[in-house]
Amino acid sequence: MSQPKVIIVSSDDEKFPVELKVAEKSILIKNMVNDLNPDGLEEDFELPTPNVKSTVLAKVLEWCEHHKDSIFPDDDEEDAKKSAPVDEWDKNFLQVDQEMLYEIILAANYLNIRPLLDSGCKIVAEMIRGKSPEELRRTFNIVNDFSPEEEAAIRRENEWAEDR
Amino acid sequence: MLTELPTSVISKVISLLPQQDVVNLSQTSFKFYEPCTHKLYKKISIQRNPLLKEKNVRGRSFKSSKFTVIAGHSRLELPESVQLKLINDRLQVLIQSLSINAKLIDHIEELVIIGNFHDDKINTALAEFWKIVRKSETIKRVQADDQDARKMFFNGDVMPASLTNYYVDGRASVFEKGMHIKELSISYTEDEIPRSILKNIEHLHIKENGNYSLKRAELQECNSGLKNIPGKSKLVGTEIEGFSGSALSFSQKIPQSSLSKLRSLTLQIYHSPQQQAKTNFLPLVKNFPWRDLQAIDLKIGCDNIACSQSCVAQFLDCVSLELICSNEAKLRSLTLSQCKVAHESYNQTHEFDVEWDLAIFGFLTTLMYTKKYKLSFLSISNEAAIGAVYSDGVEGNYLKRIHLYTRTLSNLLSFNLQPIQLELPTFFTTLANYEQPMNNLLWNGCKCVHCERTLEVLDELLMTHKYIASVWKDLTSCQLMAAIGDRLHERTTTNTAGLTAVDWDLHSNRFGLPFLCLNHKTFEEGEFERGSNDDEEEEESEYEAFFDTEESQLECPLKNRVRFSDVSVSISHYVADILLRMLNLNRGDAEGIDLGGEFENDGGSGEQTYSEIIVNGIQFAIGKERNGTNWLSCVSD
Repeated sequence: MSQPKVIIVSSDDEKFPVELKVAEKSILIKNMVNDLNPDGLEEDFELPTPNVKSTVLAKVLEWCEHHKDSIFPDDDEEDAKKSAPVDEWDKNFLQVDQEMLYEIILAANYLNIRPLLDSGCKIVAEMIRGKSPEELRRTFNIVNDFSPEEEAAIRRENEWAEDR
Repeated sequence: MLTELPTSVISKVISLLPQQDVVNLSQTSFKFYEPCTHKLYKKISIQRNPLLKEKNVRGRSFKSSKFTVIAGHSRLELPESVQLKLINDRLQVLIQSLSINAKLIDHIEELVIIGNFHDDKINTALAEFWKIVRKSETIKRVQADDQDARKMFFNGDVMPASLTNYYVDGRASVFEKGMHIKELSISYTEDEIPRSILKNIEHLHIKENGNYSLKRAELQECNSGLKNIPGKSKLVGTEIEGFSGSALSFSQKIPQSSLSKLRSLTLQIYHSPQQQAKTNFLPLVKNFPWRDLQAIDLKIGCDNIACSQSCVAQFLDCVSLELICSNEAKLRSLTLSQCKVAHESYNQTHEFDVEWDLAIFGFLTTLMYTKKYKLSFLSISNEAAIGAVYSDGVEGNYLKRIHLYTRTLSNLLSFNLQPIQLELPTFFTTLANYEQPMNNLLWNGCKCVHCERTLEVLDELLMTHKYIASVWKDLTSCQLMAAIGDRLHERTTTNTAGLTAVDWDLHSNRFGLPFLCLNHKTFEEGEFERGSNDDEEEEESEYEAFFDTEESQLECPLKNRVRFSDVSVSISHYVADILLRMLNLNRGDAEGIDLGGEFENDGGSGEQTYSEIIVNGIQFAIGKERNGTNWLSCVSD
């Protein structure tokens, strides 16, 4: 008999049956499965994710499937994980439009998939790198809500940290 | 939209940005101002040189993001006065910002002061800065490794209640005030540390004062008789003896099992030539909870000819026994550095250094073969001979050294459960102790356009300069590369915030005086024609040794022809070559198969043992292509 599956249901009611190993990449799902099945998974188990659309969930599960055997550094090793470059596969996987990228990040945050959240944040950080405040506003649709005086004051306040 | 992400995620993104980008983002809108300001003021590092920029996009890490750095100009060649002025200006603006907007003070959690600026203006500014910061209720850690520099912070005054680290230089009476110390650094003390303090300590550093390599250079200077500094030699000698004593005598005072929370330990153990008796390491080993440690940093060495590193092996045996008997392999980070002082010529032989290597590799072998470790960081650094001169005249086998630190080490680390960050801070400098590989590098090395041009200038430098080793001698590739290696090594010495940028004027070195410029090539001096008479040569050279370089030395014409950043690129090509061979990525023709060889079934796509390798401050990232092949990219040069 085949292994029982975890069936993850998206906000728009699409069902995604996946192996337990894949679903457990999400700490949220892992904990829920463990809490509700203290004796282990004996039959298919349905789990709703009301915050995640099917298009996003499909992407997230594709990532989980690819990384089902990957070993990630422990959570307590903040430094090692923080400084590591983005994995090539992840970099390619996250080459999506900005909105999709944010949706994936939000889903990874909600489902508690730390390595995916890390990769997503690093991709956003790469997008921010090397841009002037004006370029940043244009790229990310940020509305300037400072008065000219405030803007000048903030520039002065942090001037000590500017590259020379 | 980016602005719609939750604050926790935005803070995470900001924590990954280099500081200029944080400054830029803070100026875009209120939404980003608050988290950016927190990031900028949270951890501040004040240092002479800025961080080394990561040049290549592939493998670019997020290391430079840990601290906001106050440093001099990124154009390192600018004069010292300009650099110090910029640091002072930055500090003044920071002080002003903190006085105008007092809320900023409560963002500050960590302060790192690297080195000593020896500048009155900066010291006054630092004192003023500290006066403001010490009022903060959030400051947790102040790191100042220079003993003089830290007097400003740890001067016996009442410390901020939130501070969790402390330095003990001498008296330890400060602990009576009841502090919550998690990290303790001890350079020397005769006092006992109360058990109530010890039981909370998570990080313990027992090491001697200041910069070890500087002392070595000073000692060398005294020994070479070039500069007669009264009492200096004695002072240095006493301090060196002192630290071997301090670790031992201190550890004997620690009540058993009092360090129950200890997670990281730095120890310095040194067997000096004067110390006749063999050291009993048992109390040193017994009093520390090795099995629970996550980080071990050992500065260990023996300069005692009769003992010849056997004490190092013995000590490491004791430690490995403790480690392998633990139920769980908790160790994550391991740093091993050779502690060596060039007292006399006797320890300046390859054999002496190889003994140290063997002790270290014996230790690593025991660890890796007996337990499954999940190490994330390993650093091994040797002390190369000053001036790359070996007294017994034996050449040594550099191929074995390369094999040991590439293949043997990789084989051992393949037992590690995750890709590891490997640091070999002095590997290139130790290779500069062998003439053959350095000649190869200089004359038969990389033939790319960049290297052709750079190595040609280095070749000319070699031909027109002399170095000092009690007398002026013709520069060989060894001394030249050792000087370069030492400079590159300086990038790693302050590793709190990442690699530091350094510059080199093509002349300064650790051997004593700067390289001496000649206006002719050394082989044109005609000594071959005259018949090389050693006495005659020495007489002539001794005269030159007293010659005042300050006044008579002309501006070297080579100085403007090559920058240190060019030199470091050429060295990175040489090192990359060694690493590519280690990773089996040097096949050129990707179809080539290593029939019957070690890599017969490995097309460069084997298990990824390393995540990053740093050799002498040259940073390489390693990753996997989407097709599974490993790749190596030099990030820094």
